[in-house]
Amino acid sequence: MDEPRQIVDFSRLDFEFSNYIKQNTNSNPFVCFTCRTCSSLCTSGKVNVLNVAKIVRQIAIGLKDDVLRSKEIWTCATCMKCQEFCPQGVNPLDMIYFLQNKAVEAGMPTIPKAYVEMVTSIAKIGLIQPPQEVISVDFDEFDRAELELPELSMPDAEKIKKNLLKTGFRQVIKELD
Amino acid sequence: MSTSAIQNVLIIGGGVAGIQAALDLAAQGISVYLVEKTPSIGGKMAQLDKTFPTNDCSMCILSPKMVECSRHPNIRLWTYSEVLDVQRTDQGYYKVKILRKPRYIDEEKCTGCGICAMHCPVKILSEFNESLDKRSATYVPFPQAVPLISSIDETHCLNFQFKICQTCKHMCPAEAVDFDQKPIEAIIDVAAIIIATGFELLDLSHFTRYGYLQYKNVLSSLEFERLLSASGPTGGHVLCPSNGKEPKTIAFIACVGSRDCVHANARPYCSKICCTYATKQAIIAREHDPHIDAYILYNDLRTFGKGFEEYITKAENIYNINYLKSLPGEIMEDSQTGELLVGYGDFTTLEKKILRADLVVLCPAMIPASGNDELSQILGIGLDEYGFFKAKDVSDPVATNIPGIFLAGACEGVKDIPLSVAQASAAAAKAALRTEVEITKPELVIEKELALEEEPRIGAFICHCGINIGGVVKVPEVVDYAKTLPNVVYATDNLYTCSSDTQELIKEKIKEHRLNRVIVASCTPRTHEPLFRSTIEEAGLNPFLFELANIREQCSWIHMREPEDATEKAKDLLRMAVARTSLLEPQAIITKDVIPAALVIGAGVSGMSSAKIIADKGFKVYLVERDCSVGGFIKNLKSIRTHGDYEQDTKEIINELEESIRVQENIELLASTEIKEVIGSIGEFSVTLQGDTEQTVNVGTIIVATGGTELKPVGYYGYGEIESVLTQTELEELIHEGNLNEGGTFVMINCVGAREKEGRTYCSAICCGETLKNAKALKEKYPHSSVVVLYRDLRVFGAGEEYYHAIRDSGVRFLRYDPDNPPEVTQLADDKTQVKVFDTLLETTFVIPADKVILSTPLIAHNNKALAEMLKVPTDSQGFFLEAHVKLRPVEFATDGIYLAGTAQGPKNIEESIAHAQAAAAKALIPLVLGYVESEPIVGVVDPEACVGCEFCVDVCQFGAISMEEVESEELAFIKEFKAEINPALCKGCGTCSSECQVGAIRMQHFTDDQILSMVHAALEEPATSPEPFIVAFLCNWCSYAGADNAGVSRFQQPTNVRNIRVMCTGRIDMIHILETFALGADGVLVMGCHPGDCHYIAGNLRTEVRVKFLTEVLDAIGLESERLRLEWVSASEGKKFEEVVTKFVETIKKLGPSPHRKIPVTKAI
Repeated sequence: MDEPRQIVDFSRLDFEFSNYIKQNTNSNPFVCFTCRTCSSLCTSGKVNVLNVAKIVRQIAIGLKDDVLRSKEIWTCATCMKCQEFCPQGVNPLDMIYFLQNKAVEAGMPTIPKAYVEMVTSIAKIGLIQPPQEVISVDFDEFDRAELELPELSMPDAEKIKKNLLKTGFRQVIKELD
Repeated sequence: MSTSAIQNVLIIGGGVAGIQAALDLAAQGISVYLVEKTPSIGGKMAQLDKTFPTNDCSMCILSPKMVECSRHPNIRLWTYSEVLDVQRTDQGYYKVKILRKPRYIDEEKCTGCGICAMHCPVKILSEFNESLDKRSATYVPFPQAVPLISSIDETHCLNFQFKICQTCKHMCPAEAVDFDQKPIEAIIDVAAIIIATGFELLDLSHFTRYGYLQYKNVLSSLEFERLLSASGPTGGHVLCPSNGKEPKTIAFIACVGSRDCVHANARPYCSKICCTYATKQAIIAREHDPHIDAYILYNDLRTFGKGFEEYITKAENIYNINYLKSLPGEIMEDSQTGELLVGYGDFTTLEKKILRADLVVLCPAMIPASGNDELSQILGIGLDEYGFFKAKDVSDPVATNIPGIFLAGACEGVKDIPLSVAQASAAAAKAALRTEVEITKPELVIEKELALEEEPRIGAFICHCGINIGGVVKVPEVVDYAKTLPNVVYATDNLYTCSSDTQELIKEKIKEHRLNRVIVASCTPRTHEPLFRSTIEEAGLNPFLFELANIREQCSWIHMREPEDATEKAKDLLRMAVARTSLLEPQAIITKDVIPAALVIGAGVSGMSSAKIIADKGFKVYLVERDCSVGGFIKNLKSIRTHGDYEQDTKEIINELEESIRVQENIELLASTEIKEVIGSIGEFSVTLQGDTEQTVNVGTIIVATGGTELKPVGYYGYGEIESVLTQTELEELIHEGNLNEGGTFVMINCVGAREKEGRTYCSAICCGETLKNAKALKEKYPHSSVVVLYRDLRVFGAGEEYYHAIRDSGVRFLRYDPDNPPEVTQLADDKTQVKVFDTLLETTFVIPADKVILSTPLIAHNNKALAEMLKVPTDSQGFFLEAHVKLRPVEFATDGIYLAGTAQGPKNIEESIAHAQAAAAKALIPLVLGYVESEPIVGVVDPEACVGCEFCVDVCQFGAISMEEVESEELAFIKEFKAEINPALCKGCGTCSSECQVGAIRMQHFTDDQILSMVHAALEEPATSPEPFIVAFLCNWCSYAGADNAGVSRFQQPTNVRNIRVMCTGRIDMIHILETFALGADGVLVMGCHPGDCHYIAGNLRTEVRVKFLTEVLDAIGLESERLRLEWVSASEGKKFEEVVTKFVETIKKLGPSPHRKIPVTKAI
């Protein structure tokens, strides 16, 4: 047997967090019986580091910090296959959403930059990225009016920002200021 | 058959459970209606190739039971019939309306020859071969079908659909086709009903993610079973359906549609049998082709049953089956290569991997039979939440909510064959209690009548069997030849010798020509011997003065293109039969009275359950208990988790049972009593009991229900040294007393002292359930405590799966440990205990400070040695008592009259124990109810003058039938000598002792040396023609002779050089027989018997193997090549193998040329 990767003292595990997920989300990590259906059909897992079964198990045992600190939870493609085919009703996708939120809340340094940029863009202009000009395959730009296309309507960025700030994003995403 | 309700029982469903229940009831003299909706009995088991854990040929062990059902005078076999309505009468009986669907074939006339099917132009997918093959609209479902009768499937028949064709009608030589048949509604009166409708497999077409219908190489396990079977669509070759090529990699996927509480098309329960049968299929696939890589993808590896854990270990270590702990989510196809891509999570690295497989086998959930809803309404009995029939309660596991209606087999819930068979016997026992029949003891044949001093006068009846024989063999020529043979005074031919008018003719001719022996040359004795025996018996002859020459299955059907040679062979076979018949002797069926009382050893739950059934049937029972009170091991438990997910107070169960045996006057409970001595055999045991005083009781049968006990795991994980380390039973006591700390941490370790590499290798099957029960109790009583279970595979089945789900949900944590890197329990300086465990699922070591460490230990056998020796019954390597056959005789010993109940046989849960115990009672009741036992007439007889007392025979006898008796020496009265004596009541007639006896002192009745050698002489000394090579084959009755018949039924064409001689067991084949055969000039000798483990006499074939091996080595001493003698194992379903063995052997011998000992020159080189 190889030397085990890590030694964890049981008394330091966070069962309350796992319990909280069970109580407050649609997901129940405890009922997982580790069949690995989720990880074997995971769309993202085929190419990415994501291992859904491992995450569910870590949460069920109480290894909260390991999970929140991991980059894995950010690689989910949200295809919902794990949720669809889990035979025990664990609902891993709902858990991953929750974990992403908690990671943001905890200000984890592992949050991918792209996410931050998208959120910042939403706060600024109400969209995840500025609308592009109409371009042809040869990168020729066209004027919308010339093509008789309607004017682009932009969302009310101020209103969105106001609401967004209510969620507590400011604490973790400094770019909002 | 009787029409009075009180003598009748109805059984619905003709699978192995229905068959077993029918045979048990019929053996008690009760009339049975066995109703089966398909054209043949046999059920799912008939479709299986092999059975775990012995890899017995399924058909070989089932087929004799099927045939027995069709032959038994007390069983009325109503196949192709359905129950329409059931009314309960005022007297508590049932009036049952049964629909007998028209087969459009006259059952009386049809001979099962199969000509109709051959000419039927319609080809549709075969149900028996799981749509991997085609059958015709007029068909016999499979070659071993019982009854062996065609049926016309009107939904596909051209006559019914388009009013054209009727080819079968024109072709049928027996004129059995009758398109005008109408459905018949029959009303029967019965005292009890047994439901044995079995199970179905989940429809896999819903599982699109596994590509079941999309990819041709994704099969269900039953489809794969047909591919493995020698009688299947590929003749037992494992081939990919997409391209007909041999697969290199096969992936088996467990839990398909099982253990899924979310999806509507799946089932929440564990189907229990899939892990083990997937293992079996993987093993068999690798036996077929050792280059196949087999992978089993599982979630928990669950094997419940005696010897199953060892089976898995063997699969992994010897057969190199790969087990992957991961269920794949989906299967895709590589469009370039056609390989199937099975994604899985690697166990050790947590990596996601892809397995490329050529063939994928899905193991679908066992689900209730589709007719259960309707049947439950007709009968008024309840279904459980899954749709299986619901048993009454834990202490009456085969009863239902309606008195008189009982359950057997998988209709009641997921189970394997041994449990289904045990339950079937239990249901038979319960049903029999509601019946009353009068038993008439058969008249004794007086010894004088047996004497046959006249010269043999043989009558030979040669059958055309329509054109089955007559179309190939020139029957009139054979008749003329027969007339020239010695002792034959009459010979004739018949169109159908088995028809009822021919029976009259035979009787007439016996009188007319004063025949004293009869030969019929027709089909196989395995099906038709009983018919002709009873015919000659009616004419006043002893039934053993009859012989069948098999010129259909073993001649005309396998030499269809060589009519000349087939005719010559038929003459040879007839001449051999005449030689043997001339030496046949009348045999008496000896009966012996049975003392109408039983002894039950052990008054635990099982012993009490057995005793109650026997006593309720009106027989005296001595219930002996070593302890001062009844209840057995479960006295130590507070509650017990039962079949469903509920718990029951053990005290209630024990009290209820104890009360019921105390009020039963027939039971004499003898507590604080042990067995001191047992003498005698079935029917008359004399047992000395030692209690406060010594006493002797006389009984007819004995049930061993001595139970088991919990392992006290001294030496494991500090048990006995560290105070906080307990067993589950000790924990249960503490929970009950409330002596535990709220908020504490409890660590449970499973498989302590079980599933070991050496020693206690078995899985005790019930400990996981106990662990869950106590984990739940802890969480309920101490909700703030932390419970951690360290397990290897969590083994619960059926509804237990939902129980397990609920316990996970309650926050009990499960860590999976590796037995090679087991948990460490240490006592720290501050008196705290610490558990260190490596969790293989997260590859993380956890250190757990524990208040209590609880060890889940297996049920172990008591020290059974002394009792086993007294009873002369065997124990297994773990000290449990060893049953006669793991699959089909789970409650019997090989020794008649002694039966086995409950955990004395191996670990079981409470319902299983009780069903097992009731089954044992059913078996023990048969001799008691009949009042007599019939001994097999084909038994060995010792010549005391020749016997030298070497005890060789005692060692080889598997049935304890031979004992050494002290006699006075002939010469000097004061010298005592020991001589072997065979108890005819125990002898099964294999003849192994006779072959092993070095001084020829044992004569095997009906298969004497003279009789066997007479056939050898007849075959070799004056053959009609002497083909080259000329080969004599010795075949055992049960497997290889049946395999030869199967080759015939399947029309596998073979060389005509072989002459078969049938013996009951290859054990009967003496070295003398083989040597004499060679001395008389045979060019080759084939010996064929059952595969090791399949022997109907346990190990007769293994003794033969030793003898043949020895002979092979010394053959050159008489100038013969060792290749001229060959031993082969051929099972009843291996018709193809039989043909291959024969063809190959003939080739081999041809190359060697004629034997130097040939007396008759070669007249014809074939």
